[in-house]
Amino acid sequence: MNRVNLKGVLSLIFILIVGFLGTRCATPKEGVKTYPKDYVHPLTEINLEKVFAENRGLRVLEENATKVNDFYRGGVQEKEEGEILLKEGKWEEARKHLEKSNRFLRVVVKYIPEDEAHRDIYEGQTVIFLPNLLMADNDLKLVTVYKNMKNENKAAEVKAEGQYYLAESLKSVKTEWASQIKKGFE
Amino acid sequence: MALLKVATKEKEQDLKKYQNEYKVSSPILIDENGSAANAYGVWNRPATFFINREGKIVARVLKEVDWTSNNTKNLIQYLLKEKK
Repeated sequence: MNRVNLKGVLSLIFILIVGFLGTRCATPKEGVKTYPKDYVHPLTEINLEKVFAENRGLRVLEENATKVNDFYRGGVQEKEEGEILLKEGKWEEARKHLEKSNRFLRVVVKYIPEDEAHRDIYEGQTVIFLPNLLMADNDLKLVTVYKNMKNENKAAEVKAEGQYYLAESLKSVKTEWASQIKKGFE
Repeated sequence: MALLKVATKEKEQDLKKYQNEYKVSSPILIDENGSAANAYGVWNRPATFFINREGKIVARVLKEVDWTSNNTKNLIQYLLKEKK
């Protein structure tokens, strides 16, 4: 249903209630796949585009975020925005979004400090959950941003922060993506 | 007021069984690949979203609740009072 049609339908009703059903009708799901401790998740399986795709949709506003997943989603959405602006060379605008993304994600790690390649959110439904790695990636990009803004002190500061979050991520999950970020910091 | 029930990654025959068992008369939409749940940012179920005539989410309930309780009746009545 497109936006115009939806508006038409909504004008006929006072309120629409969308309810995602619980477990009563649940089909038994396959268990979440487990991986050996040192398994390195390849880029084809865990990558930024997949993370973006999982978190598109309803936009999270900072003032409305109340649950950990709101903050994670907000962090990813701000990151996507920042990445687009970065590619366009809009350093100041990109900085704002990447910093905001980190603000969201810092809240996430306060409550769930460990990254997970596939976090089981309900009955076998999984999401890529890498708040530490996303912050490390944001910081790597912020190094470029600050260098272009001729702010070497801030560039050094975000590099140190990014290396910290990268190490935190690697404590719980190994990904090819993390190796790329590590190389980026070298 | 319209109510849409959405079942994520469920099989049709299980939903029919559920409708019969719990005498559910309203239709249930199937979110086959979980894309609707993703778009709404659903990380736990059940989850209920209240959308007003402007298409804005005005409330959400992210847990199981008794929809016949006074609290939820009051919530729905309050939301229905919203002007056109």
